[in-house]
Amino acid sequence: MTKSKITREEISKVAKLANLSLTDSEIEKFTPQLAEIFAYIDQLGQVATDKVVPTAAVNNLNNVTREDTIADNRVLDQEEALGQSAKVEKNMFVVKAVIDND
Amino acid sequence: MDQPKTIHELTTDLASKKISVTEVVADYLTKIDQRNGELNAFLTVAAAEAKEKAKEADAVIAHDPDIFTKKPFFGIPVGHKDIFLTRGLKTTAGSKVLANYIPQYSSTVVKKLEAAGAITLGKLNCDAWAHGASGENSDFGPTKNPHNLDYVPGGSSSGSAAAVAADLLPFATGTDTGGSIRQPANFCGVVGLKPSYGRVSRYGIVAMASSLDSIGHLTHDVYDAAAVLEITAGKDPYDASTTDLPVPTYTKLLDQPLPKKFKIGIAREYLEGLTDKDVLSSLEAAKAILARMGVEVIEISLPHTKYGIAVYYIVQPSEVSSNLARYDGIRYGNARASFGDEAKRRIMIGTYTLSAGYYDAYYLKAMQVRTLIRQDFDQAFGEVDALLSPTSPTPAFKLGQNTADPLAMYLADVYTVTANLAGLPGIALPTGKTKENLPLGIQFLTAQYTEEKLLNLAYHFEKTLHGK
Repeated sequence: MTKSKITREEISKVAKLANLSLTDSEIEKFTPQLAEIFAYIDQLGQVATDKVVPTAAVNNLNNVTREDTIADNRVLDQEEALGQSAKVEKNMFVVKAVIDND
Repeated sequence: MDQPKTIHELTTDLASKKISVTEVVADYLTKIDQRNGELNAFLTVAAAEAKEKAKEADAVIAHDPDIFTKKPFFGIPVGHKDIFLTRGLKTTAGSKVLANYIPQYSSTVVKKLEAAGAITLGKLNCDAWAHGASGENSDFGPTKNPHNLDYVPGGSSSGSAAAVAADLLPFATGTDTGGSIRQPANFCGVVGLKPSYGRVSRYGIVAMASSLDSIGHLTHDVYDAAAVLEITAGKDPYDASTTDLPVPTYTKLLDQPLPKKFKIGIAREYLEGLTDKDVLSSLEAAKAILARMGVEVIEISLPHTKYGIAVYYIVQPSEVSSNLARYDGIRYGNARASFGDEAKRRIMIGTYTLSAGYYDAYYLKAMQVRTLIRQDFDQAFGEVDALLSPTSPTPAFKLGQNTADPLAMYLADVYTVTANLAGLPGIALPTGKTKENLPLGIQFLTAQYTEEKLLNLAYHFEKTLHGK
């Protein structure tokens, strides 16, 4: 079904997609480990699954909805909401710039 | 060491004024003081808060002796796995990403137990983000097995199992995504209950794999397992995946005789490759106990068992990668560089299996095989009332033995993961010990949302085991 050999390049690419910065030695360590894990999970290719309906959830529920109203008892006030952030300015979270000014 | 007190024994002692809540809390805090240094079961001990609550509780008892009928766990100490959010009390998930996180709210289970009168003594060590089967993935150091400090307590609810086994707590909460309650309960010789998916609210518990996470607990006996579930189970408007099926009064149903012609199945696929002599002998001992109970044990087949781990190691990391994507170190917690190795591995596996071009081959395929595994169980429960299996293929292993080989560690979940894939309730029960003084045990599974049947069986099994 799929190739079971994972390359260093693929590990680097996946790490980037997952917003993880890995060191060279981490890539060195993870590459054979993940290759072994993928070789193992590739055995699912042996199972015939034509027309088998996938199972995403196991509680027999469908589209559980609620009224679109504010649950006052679990709204955090501003001080609480900001209280765990390492960097706060003017009652706002500080994030990295994503748009370059130049 | 004195015989550990169960919740129901403590309640009897408290209600008859044989002991005060202050004394109970002080006793456990002393034991924690004495043993936590070597066990590393607690990450946070809320000693001052607990003593204060104990004093208040004693004052309530003085003028309202009926409080125990109104609040079934009044004055009973509890510890929570450190992925249960506790308002105002540090919650790390065993990870340096949340090393200093103080939650702004409590999880539904914590609130329910507090409303029933339980007093939180502290937060328990676990594999970071509940990823692991040994406790060794905690960023705050491994927990040790109280029966032998050279061995792991199992994981990921490592601190919960070790603390209850060492009698540092009468009970502890845990979570089970692929065996994380049952396997450490088995390694530490305590009772571990994994309820059906959707039976207990996941709200306010750090999510690992949202379609698999089950919220349960570790106790000294089956009665307590039922008593805790009676409090924690039920529909929660904050967790849309909870079922609105009514919650039976589990403790009242425990000592009902087992239904006539009660039948238990052992899957022949579970026996293939099972070589550990101690585990095999504990399974034989369990069969002998069931025979004494007049229960028939037959061999059945769960043909897709061998694919359980492969399905689990696609579905689970896929969900992990998306759940852990929210940790950006902006609103709370530290930056993503603080993730440990196992979290990084699982994030990468999941990101890969969900990435464009691979979704059909991995995630979709795994969901389809999940259906087949579920159908195996449906068929089995048409033939038998419950399933018997080992909880783990071996007793507890030594610290460091599997840390360099993640796949070997994953394979230790072979008897537990399928219950999560199918949403079934399961219970791990201790049966004895090896010559090396390591606990042995077995697992029972029943059909989804039949915890009363599972507990009824487990209760009679435990009674017969102890010759009562």
